[in-house]
Amino acid sequence: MQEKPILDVRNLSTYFDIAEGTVKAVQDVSFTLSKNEVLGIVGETGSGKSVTVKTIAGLIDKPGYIAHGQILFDTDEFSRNGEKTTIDLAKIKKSMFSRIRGRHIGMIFQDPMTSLDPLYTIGRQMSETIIHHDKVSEEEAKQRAIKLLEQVGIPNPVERIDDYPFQLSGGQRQRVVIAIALSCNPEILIADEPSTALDVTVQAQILELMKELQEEYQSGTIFITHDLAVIAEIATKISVMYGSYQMEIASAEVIFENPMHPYTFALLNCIPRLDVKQAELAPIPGQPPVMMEPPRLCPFLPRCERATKKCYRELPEIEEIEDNHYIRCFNPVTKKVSVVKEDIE
Amino acid sequence: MKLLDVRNLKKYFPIRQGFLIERTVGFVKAVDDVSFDLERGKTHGIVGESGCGKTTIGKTILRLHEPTEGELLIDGEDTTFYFFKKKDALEHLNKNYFSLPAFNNGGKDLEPHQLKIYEAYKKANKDPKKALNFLFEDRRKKMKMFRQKAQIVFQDPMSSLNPRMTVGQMLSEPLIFHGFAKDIDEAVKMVKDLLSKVGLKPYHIDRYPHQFSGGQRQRIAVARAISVNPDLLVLDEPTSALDVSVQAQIVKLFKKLQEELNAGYLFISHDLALVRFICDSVSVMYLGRIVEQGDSQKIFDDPLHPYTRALLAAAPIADPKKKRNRKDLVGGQVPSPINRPKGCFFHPRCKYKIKGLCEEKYPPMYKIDDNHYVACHLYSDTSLKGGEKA
Repeated sequence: MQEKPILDVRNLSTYFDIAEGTVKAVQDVSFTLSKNEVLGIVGETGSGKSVTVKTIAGLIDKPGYIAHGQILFDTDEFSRNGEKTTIDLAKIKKSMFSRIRGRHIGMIFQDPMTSLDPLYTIGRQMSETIIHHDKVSEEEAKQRAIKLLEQVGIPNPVERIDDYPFQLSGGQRQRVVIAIALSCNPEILIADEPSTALDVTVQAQILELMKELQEEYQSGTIFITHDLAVIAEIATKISVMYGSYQMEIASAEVIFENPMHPYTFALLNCIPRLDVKQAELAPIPGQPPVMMEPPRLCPFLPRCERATKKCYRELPEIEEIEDNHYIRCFNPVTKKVSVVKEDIE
Repeated sequence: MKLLDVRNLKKYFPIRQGFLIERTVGFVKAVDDVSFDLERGKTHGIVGESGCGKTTIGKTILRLHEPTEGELLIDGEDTTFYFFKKKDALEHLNKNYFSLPAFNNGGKDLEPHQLKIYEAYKKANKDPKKALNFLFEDRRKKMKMFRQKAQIVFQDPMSSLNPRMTVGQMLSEPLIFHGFAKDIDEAVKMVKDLLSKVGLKPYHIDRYPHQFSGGQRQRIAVARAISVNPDLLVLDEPTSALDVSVQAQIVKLFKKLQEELNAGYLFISHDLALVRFICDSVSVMYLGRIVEQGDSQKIFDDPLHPYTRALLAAAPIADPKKKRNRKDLVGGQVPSPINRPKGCFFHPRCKYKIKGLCEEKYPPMYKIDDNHYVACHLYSDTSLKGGEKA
């Protein structure tokens, strides 16, 4: 018996109306997130991964808007009798979101220098969130902030709490951002490329920290990255995005061992690996798509080596091909052979 | 003969303080006593975290920075002083050549690059100033030749390509300057060839950089670099700004071009997996110094320096079943290059440090194996790993 998911995203589409036309940044994205699950969204620049989570967190402003879809979230935040009700985050007012963000959805962004305010001490930025949501006294908020800093591994938190962001190193800043995101014990944690701006040894520290905190807080995490190696490290479930669509969703093991979508398959073949010596990389020909008024066809079509005639006529729907393995493709990779090599011959 | 031979290269940036009267209060030792060499058709990788000096090495070799000390030999010729002012050039020659004992008693056992300078020295009757004048006679020509021999591809093609020039203008300029094309018509023909060589179409010639995607722009930057048939190509994180699917295309292009040009590549990157794939030999840098150097295979399969091990342990692996080696992970972060720790620079983060030694003394380079060197006190015991001072 599966637990009821805490977040249920159905057919979400986010568009941006700009002077040159409509940019369809996210189209028909559906997934569920359960407690203590790490969903990794992986994709290249412009694939819509960041817009997806920003939509969920209510951070899409004009000219962007949610064109279709539902974001169902169970919460007691707005009910009077304390019972949980399902609300649709795609429909609620902007003003209501300030009770969701920070309290129920914590966010970690890529660059900690821009997500922290340089003019306030980290203690003040941390207690601000705690006071806003939990209505506690300043002194109590400070004590909680110190405890959080200790949890995320900042040495001497009692002294460091009065530091300004510039006094911390990049890795420490990201630790503070993580502490703020977790300060109200949110059910959902969104991490948008949290380790990309960091050096590799510091990145490893942050990933280890996030794994530890995940075990402790048991929140549902959405982890966004373009780095397949990072996603392999942390995610339990992976959604591969390309050109605004989800291409494949499955558990992390299945994605890496038995990828069925031609894009996932090709992507895994073109990354250099640290653990094995490769003789050759198999690049994907062509360029990533432009998202301005794209045709309603598979976005990977121009670069796909398994395209069939049907692919040029209609867009495949996302379907369950095995248990908990969803793909959007008419001609999936079913045999574990290198397709690229076959086609060259 | 080695294409590039970098010997004891140092690049210090002064830190100035004060208003009106500026004083130098210290130095950032961005590159501190670095040596390595590179042969034609081979790729040498330089890896390290931000601030370790890897980009400064590339820029100093190309003379976008002037070296503070050290020699840069290209094809067995010291090109260092050609770019100096006369006073500095004289100092360089005095220090590295004229003061050598061999220069003053017959010039025995000199290396080829020293021999060239010795001849000028002899011709000038051992007068350093006159010798410099002889050596500087064809200075312009030498500088121009160097500029043709050594080229670079930068990380971000959007900032390295002039947005106001078309691809044709950009690519024909070096061809005409270095005399590869006699006139515009010939240059246009060559540019079209170049474009198809890097996987673009001849009709792209009249387009501006903003009309291309990131990967295509990097192809233009590559075309510009290879247009003058360079022998040495410095690749400074050439794929970090690109998506993985495009990165593989560019890497493949580099490999193809290396076979055609038989050029030596200096590949600067923080991406260990990419370095493993592309490089024949690797230098691992930490705070301006090389901590481990050797054949790519040895560095990645049998890393010795605790920092190399930490780097490899920290890099995530694209396989959910393989777990990283937590034992070698380190805490903390890279200290400031202005205020480097005493002793071995890595000792505050090192798990294997030897008390009383690592805090005090910077380790020398030990030779462990053929073409495998490591700067770490752990390998000083020759019986342990067959190490000897190199």
